[in-house]
Amino acid sequence: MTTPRDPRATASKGAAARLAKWIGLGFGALAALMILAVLILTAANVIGRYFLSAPLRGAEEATGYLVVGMVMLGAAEAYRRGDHIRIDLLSERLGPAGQWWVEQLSHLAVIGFAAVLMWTGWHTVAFSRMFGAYSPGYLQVPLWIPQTALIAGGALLATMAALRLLDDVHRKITHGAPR
Amino acid sequence: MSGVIIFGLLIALLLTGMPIFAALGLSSLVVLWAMEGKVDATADAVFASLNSPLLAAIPMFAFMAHVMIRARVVDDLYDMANKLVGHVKGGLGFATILSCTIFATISGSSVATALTIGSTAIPQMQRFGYRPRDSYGVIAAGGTLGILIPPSGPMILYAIVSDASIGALFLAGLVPGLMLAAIFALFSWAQVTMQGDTQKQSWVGWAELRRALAKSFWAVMMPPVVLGGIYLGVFTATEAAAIGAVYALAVAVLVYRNVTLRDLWDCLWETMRTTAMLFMILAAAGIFGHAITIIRLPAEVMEAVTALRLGQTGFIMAVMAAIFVLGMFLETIAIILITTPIILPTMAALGIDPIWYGVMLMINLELALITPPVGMNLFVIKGITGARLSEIIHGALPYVLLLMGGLALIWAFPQLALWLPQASGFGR
Amino acid sequence: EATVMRCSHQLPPAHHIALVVDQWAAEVETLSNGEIDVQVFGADSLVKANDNILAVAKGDIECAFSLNFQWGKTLPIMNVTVGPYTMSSIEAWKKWPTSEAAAYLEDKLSEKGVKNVAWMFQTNVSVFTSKGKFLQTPADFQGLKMRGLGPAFDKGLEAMGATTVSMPGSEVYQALATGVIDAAVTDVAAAWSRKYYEVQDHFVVVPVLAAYLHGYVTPAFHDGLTDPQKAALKKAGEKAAGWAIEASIEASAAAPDQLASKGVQVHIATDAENEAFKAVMQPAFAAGFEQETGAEGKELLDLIAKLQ
Ligand code: NA
Ligand code: NA
Repeated sequence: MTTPRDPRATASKGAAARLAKWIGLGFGALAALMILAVLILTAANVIGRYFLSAPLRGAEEATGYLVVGMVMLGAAEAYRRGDHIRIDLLSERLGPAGQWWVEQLSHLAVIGFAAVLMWTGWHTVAFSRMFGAYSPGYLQVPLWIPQTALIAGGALLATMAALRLLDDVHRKITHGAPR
Repeated sequence: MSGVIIFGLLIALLLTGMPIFAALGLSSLVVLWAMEGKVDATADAVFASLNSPLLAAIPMFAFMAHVMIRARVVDDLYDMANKLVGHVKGGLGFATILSCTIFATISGSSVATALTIGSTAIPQMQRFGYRPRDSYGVIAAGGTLGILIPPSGPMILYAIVSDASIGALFLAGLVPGLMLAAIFALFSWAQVTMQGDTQKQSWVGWAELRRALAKSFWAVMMPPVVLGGIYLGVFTATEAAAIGAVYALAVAVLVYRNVTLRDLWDCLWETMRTTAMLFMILAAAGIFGHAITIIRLPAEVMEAVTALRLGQTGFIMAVMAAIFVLGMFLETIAIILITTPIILPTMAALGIDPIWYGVMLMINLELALITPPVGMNLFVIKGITGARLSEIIHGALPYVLLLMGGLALIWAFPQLALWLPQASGFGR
Repeated sequence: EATVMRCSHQLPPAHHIALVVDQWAAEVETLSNGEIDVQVFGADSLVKANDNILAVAKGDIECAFSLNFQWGKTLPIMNVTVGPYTMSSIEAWKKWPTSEAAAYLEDKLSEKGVKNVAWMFQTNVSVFTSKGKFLQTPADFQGLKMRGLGPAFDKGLEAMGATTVSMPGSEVYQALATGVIDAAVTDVAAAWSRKYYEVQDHFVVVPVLAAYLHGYVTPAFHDGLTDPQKAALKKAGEKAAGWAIEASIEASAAAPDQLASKGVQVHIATDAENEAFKAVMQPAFAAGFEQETGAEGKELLDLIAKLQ
């Protein structure tokens, strides 16, 4: 799995590409740590329950929220690396110029979707705070806290797609050739 | 009519080559905006689809696989499998399906099965001369066994919605699961044999095999340790994923001693990327499911099928066809929750055995996992290999037909599914 | 053009209260002369169980049904009926829909941001399920690992020495089968429908807690209805409350025999056994409830006392 899935995605050295890289690596690291947290939490719960009769009753709920977090924080880095899967039936038949345009369309689509995710995520968080909603199980944390991941995820993904769009356009202007 | 427009829009967006999650997301937004006048549910649907402790099993299995690859534990396992069956032409396909079958008895998820076995088996199969596309097909199909062979997350969900016995369903899935495994293995063998340019190893002799077995001890011990833990009540089938990952870590760090902290971080990093990629599609499929459910599209399709007043045979064929089509676009959990409540009353009226139906539903859901445009097992393989999706779809296509054949067999011979649970005292 | 009202709930379609929800939906349509078009989405198919409250409050959908204790810390006073032996009598339940206590909770729900439209009594008959022997006295719970019902009720189980474990509902059957957990407490009808008899062999029937599924709608949606439509909704809710009690009595009455017919041991707890459970569990629950709800909780308990 170590093969870069889309080598074009990480080739650039421009300012936008460098910013994208730092954002991707930073939040990606947080997402990776969340995976580690799930591993530790689950193992600790099993040990606590089986050997010590002292289960971590919040583990189940926390795991669900960590899954939300790892996806929302990791999706931007996956986008930067070109991991997100596409149907490549038609687009691969286009020439380099056509593919360039398809790529920009894809960035715009992701920006649009991610912006809606961020915006509606904002509403969800604001509403949960106003309503005073708590998680329904043993954790009893204010629900807006895990929901904040939605805003972060939308914002990061939109930013990443915008940076890649900028970088692509910048390179097209400076180098002329598509990619 | 609205259905044609919605699915047409989705397909058009997908064909532009934008990421699948964006195509699913945007078409949902269009549906919600046009029909509801608001898109407020977007973030809520994303949160609801991802907020599931059961999903966490997938990154855990992925991490386990990465660690076992990085520490070369897998090399020893495959070396052993190859020495055991490699001298038989197409033996590696057998070994791969067997691994999937064994893993399916641990995991309740097909995605986890395809991910774990695929990330180890695909490179090996290709090393020994399998055409890439054939190796993708074996994994795409073998992985689907995860939900038919017990334990199975989707079966439990169906049982709860339909009021069928979970124990009986588990038993009912076993024979069809093994049967499909055999069909897959035979097909893969035939495919490789006819192709003719696969490398064939010579038989290495018992002493060499014994050495390979000893070397692969820690890898071979993994299924019994994990299965033992589940059936002795130490952990649940979902927790088994994390325990498997801890086991792999322990073997890598304590026994093989060939991984650095940096290696482990890389494993975690790769896991994160795969998870983000797979689960973004799941999240967007969640919005899409919400959007078409709230406008009652699947309900209307199922109600139309139900209203045809077909006999038992016609009804099952129509329902299976409808679920196959839904399965091209929707994700398995959504299909169970949306379709089952609607068809239950007619099922009862026609006297259709819910266990029998449940097994056919599972096979149909296995199909959903490998049919484009939304097929999670296809995406897993894309994530593992970076291959072109069209190539993966091409490789999986024969297995779509085989699964349809399996579905037809269970339909024609219900006893394939029902004999085991009935012999064990379930039913009546 | 009829006003569409989408209603989400979590119950499987054959559940006795799911059938009452369907009946209620038809009644709303009839009483409103078809002006309200009720679309029921059961079995978590539109919105998941834990997300119903916010989806309705926010207005993503117009209506949903939740079990009272699903409000949790969001509105802890809704936990009142989960109190061990607080609302054990059917007579109290029959008076409930039009009682001051119900009105009090409806006010609390309104203040929180949803408009209550129906109280569907779901059970006052639970079972303690186990393997090998009955859970007949508080001492039998010592050292057991059990799947609990949530933080509020579990205090009573812990007071008897059990360790409560949290796991997704879909995992419970297998966890009981393999012994990850030793025992469970559940509604007697659920013990039947979720096939616990396949993996547990001793069942003690106890009226330990009461649960209701209550229906609620988005306040803004309710405000937008005409007065006759509001009246139809109210009337249908009152009728459904009655149907729910009948259906629940029937389901609870049948379940112990159904369980026994599967060859498992069923014991109906005696008055003395119930007293013993109550003596240990009730104070533990009450302390937590008082801490979370304060003076309001006490006020509500006084109103409930009038029903007994
Ligand atoms: Na399985
Ligand atoms: Na599919």
